[in-house]
Amino acid sequence: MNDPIVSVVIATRDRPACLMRLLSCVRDQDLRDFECIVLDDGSGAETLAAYDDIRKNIDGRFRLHLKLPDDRQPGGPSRMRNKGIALAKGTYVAFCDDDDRWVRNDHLSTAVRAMTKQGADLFFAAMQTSARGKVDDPDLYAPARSALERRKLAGEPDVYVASIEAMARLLRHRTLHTDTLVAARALLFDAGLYWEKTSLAEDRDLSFRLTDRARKILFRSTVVGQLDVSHHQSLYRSYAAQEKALYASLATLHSELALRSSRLRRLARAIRAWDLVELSHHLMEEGKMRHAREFAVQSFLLKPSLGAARLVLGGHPHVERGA
Amino acid sequence: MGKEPAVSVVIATRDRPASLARLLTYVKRQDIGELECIVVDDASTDETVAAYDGIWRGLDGRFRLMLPASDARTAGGPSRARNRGIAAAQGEYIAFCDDDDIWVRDDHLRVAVTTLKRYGGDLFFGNIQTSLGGNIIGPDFYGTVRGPLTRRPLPGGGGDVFEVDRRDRARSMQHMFLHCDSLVASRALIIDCGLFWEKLSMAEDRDFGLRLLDRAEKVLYRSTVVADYDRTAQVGICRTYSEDEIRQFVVMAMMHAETRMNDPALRRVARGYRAWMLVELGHNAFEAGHRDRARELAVQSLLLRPTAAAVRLALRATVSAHPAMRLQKSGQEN
Repeated sequence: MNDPIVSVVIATRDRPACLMRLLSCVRDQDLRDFECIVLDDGSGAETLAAYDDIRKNIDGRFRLHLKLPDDRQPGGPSRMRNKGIALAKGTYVAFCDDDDRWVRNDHLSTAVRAMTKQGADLFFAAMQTSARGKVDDPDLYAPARSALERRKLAGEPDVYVASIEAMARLLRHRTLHTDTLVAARALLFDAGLYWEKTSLAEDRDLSFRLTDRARKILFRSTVVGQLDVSHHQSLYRSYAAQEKALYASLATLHSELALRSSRLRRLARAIRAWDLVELSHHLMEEGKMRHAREFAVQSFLLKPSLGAARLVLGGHPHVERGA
Repeated sequence: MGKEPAVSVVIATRDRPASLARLLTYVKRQDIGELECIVVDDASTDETVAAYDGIWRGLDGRFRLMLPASDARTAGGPSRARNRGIAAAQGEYIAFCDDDDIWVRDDHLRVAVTTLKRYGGDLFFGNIQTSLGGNIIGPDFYGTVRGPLTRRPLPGGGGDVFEVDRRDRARSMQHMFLHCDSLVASRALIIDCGLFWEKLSMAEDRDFGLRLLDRAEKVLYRSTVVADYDRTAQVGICRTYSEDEIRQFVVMAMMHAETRMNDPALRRVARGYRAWMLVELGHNAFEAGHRDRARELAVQSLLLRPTAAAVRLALRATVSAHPAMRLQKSGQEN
């Protein structure tokens, strides 16, 4: 049996209905030559029972990996995805979060065709967000769209070569979301995989490292991924706003230590400076003015910005957030 | 149990039944009667849990075991485990010790509780020694900061207990952290400072220690060594973290403490710690041949807190990163 051209890696925990919906999207892809590796991160008995139904609806290209009963290691999506990457046999690896989905069935075929033809090692497509079944933000990557759509590929209606400038623009405002990411397996190893020590902002960290190491990056301008932002139970929501800013800052420092491009390192510092502004705002809301000013000064020293300067000088509580 | 115990000992453990059994014998030998000891198991294997039966046969009713809820499928980390123990504790004071370390004095809890009560203190810590494979490698953990810690001896007692005033707290913690092994704090203080940060499983004790120092009314230090910090067994969670990963987590732990602390001097200490970690990360980048990154980290460190070490690293990295010397790898950076 030949190795498949692309491996789809999905980490999941206690979301059997969402997972089933996503697996249908994968099954319905018009590219047949894939394998799909699902890694369960210690779901409960009820979910495991529901997997029996799921198994009836999938074919041999799908593999479901359960956690060993004695494995009490805290898992987390990073560790699960890395496990999936290690098991993957495809030249390319695609990802999607278990509660999200693909809205087009030509996602994998377009990615594989364009990447192979161009010798590209990183591909991502436009995303929309949804809340309670309705589209919320129709174009998540809008802030960088004009920069991303400068160099169209011949023979593809909606695929562009993304320059480092366009990627910097994108990373300034957004993270490369896992849902539409397709990367050469070799690139994932070269960039150092997901950082398993954090379960928050781990995609921001990897976005930077992948962008830094990729030879050629392709962007598909048609919306392919749908990110569910409804208020359901998720790991992300168990963190308070300040904790999120702290962990985001940690993940960004982690990527900064590994980046070769000084331009991307500068950008990583600017993003950490915004995290500090964010922390400063929270402290101000708690009425800790001096405290807030200290963080604003730190932010300004790391990367001067108007937002930080305002907080340092005036400390006005209603200045607009971040950038 | 009719009367509430004077002190609760909280121990988080995971898959170290032999070490735990050893520590519990030292807890049992403490010459204070009114104690309770709460052992919180953090999702150990069934084998370990089975071993607890044997351990508890040699213990009395003061020793309690808290197993994870039956639906807990993964470990929650040492912070969450300790917080569970704190929530269950009944004593006015709470003492901690890591499950792979021991107390070397049987009067640790008695001295802590009596001096805390007598002087109205809410935070107590004793000196500790570090050992490796049974040999003592550091007989005086807090030795380098003995000056600020022992400026104000307390009358009475054994002559080895000192009050650490607010200014000396910041002075003593520049390159030091409060180790959990010899820590005894009032339950009210622990709750006031916000408990252990549950999202953190690395350097969580450094964050916690600084926040305790920040909120404490009166801090007492005992210069006699009361605990042995065994670095041999430091292979648990630390083993899975690289040196650089630990430094990054210390940076975040210190940033967390800084957002929570009221005392500006201690906030400066937390920043200084971060600055120090950035220099260390910079040194590693330099050794790995990443001169530009080393220089950037040195500059970041300098902006947080100026130190000679950061200046040296910045100069070294700048000189060797001079464009003339970088020609052969100009394609790499940028």
